[in-house]
Amino acid sequence: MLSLTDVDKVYLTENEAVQAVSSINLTVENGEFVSFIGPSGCGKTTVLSLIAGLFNPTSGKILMDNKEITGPTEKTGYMLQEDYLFPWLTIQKNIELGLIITNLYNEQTKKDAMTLLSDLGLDDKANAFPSELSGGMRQRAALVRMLAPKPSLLLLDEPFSALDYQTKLKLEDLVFSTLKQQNKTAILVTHDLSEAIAMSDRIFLFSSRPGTIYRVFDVPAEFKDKLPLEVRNDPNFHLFFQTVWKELEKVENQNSNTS
Amino acid sequence: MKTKIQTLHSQYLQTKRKDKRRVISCQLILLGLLFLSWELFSRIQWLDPLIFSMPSKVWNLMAAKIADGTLFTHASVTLSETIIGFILGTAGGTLIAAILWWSPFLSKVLDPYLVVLNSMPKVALGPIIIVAFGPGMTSIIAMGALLSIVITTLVVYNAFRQVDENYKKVLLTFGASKRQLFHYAILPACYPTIISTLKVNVGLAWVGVIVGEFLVAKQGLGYLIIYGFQVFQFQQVMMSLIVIAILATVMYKMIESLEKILMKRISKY
Repeated sequence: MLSLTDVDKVYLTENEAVQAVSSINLTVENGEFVSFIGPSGCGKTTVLSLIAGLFNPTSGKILMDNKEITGPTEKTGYMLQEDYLFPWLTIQKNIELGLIITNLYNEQTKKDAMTLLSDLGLDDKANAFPSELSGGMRQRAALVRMLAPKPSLLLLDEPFSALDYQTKLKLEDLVFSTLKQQNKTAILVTHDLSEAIAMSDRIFLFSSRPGTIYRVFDVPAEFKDKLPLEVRNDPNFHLFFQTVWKELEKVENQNSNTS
Repeated sequence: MKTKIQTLHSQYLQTKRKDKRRVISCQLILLGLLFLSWELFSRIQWLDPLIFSMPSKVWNLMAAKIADGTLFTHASVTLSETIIGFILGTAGGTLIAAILWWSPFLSKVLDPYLVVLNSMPKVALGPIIIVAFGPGMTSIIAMGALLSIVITTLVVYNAFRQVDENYKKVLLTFGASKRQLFHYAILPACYPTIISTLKVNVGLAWVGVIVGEFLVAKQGLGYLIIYGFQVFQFQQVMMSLIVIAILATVMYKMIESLEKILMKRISKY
């Protein structure tokens, strides 16, 4: 279980000190899939980086399984907007790199990673270089790289935003089912409201300046076990979409009024 | 349909080959004309034969020097100094760049010194180097290395800093140490830059070594030039220049093909 208590983060530059996020309180249960949405600059990526341990909060506590996060660990996996596979390494070497750095490299984990790679339909690409793969394939390979050290918490930083629409829909389903199968906890940062509804159990709406949690939505129970594409086609999808959309607009208006 | 495309393709290839043949034959004719007119103008005294000599005399001298083995000795001395100098310059520059990347504090402290060293004409340090390393091969190699080390440091350090932050982020989220960051992301991302500095450094090392030989050497092509100049034997100067032109070109081409091999190896890792 992950919990954030009164988390603040101030960014310091020579010109100013910016309160990036303030008094963030949230908990994520094991196996839960949550999304962060909100206007740009609302600090959702900052919160994700804090949870990843890339930097520490200015004040407040972040606990994972009752242990404070002070730096990156092999328990969390992070997926970026683009795949960022190393172009000079083959797909297999790219995936093994995560294992080497987390000190989990051995015959078993290597074999498991290769099994996952073929589960995701990339078994013939193990010795190919990233440049030989399409965008969707590369993002799948990046998913395998993230999952290879078997993290329990996955942080997804707009992982589908650089893909074309069809690939994105397919990959949403694939990521969703892979994570559910392995019973992973996941946090998705996205600017796409439909994607948040389609994939997650709960949605945290952030407002900006300073970034803080404005509202939390429980996604209707009937959506939770469906694949993202099925959720998007559900007759009730639009109704819920409208509810969240109104709040999202309120947040954006509030920002444009103050600025 | 298919045969038509094939004929078109073979026609295209033929024009390409023809074009290439034309370029090469023009290049050879130009070279021939150059030497021919040099010879001719020297003989009819349009060029002062005392200063510019002529190809036939240069060739005779070269044949004699090859026969008694002295040319080989001089050329191999210069060549080995150049190779050692540019390898030291490239490796040293990369090493310093790595240290600067490792310690942002040190890089800030050393920044103005690097700027001064880079803008300074390094050959002006020649006398200091000779005093420091003694009048011999060490000084000449040091000159060769010095010319390339500063620029290599700056170029490679810049490349290190410009590696995409997101590659580092990928490794950092796995909990990578600074050493691992350097080993798995920074250094391999900059191999192309380092290899391309090799090509620049070959040229710089030649400059350093020849100037170094002007100053102190008792052997080498730079020595032959300065000696020929002092005793007014311009045949020898011309001969040395031709040998240097040939060697420098061959070396540059070798580095170029080495670059191609290395780049292939890197992408095949």
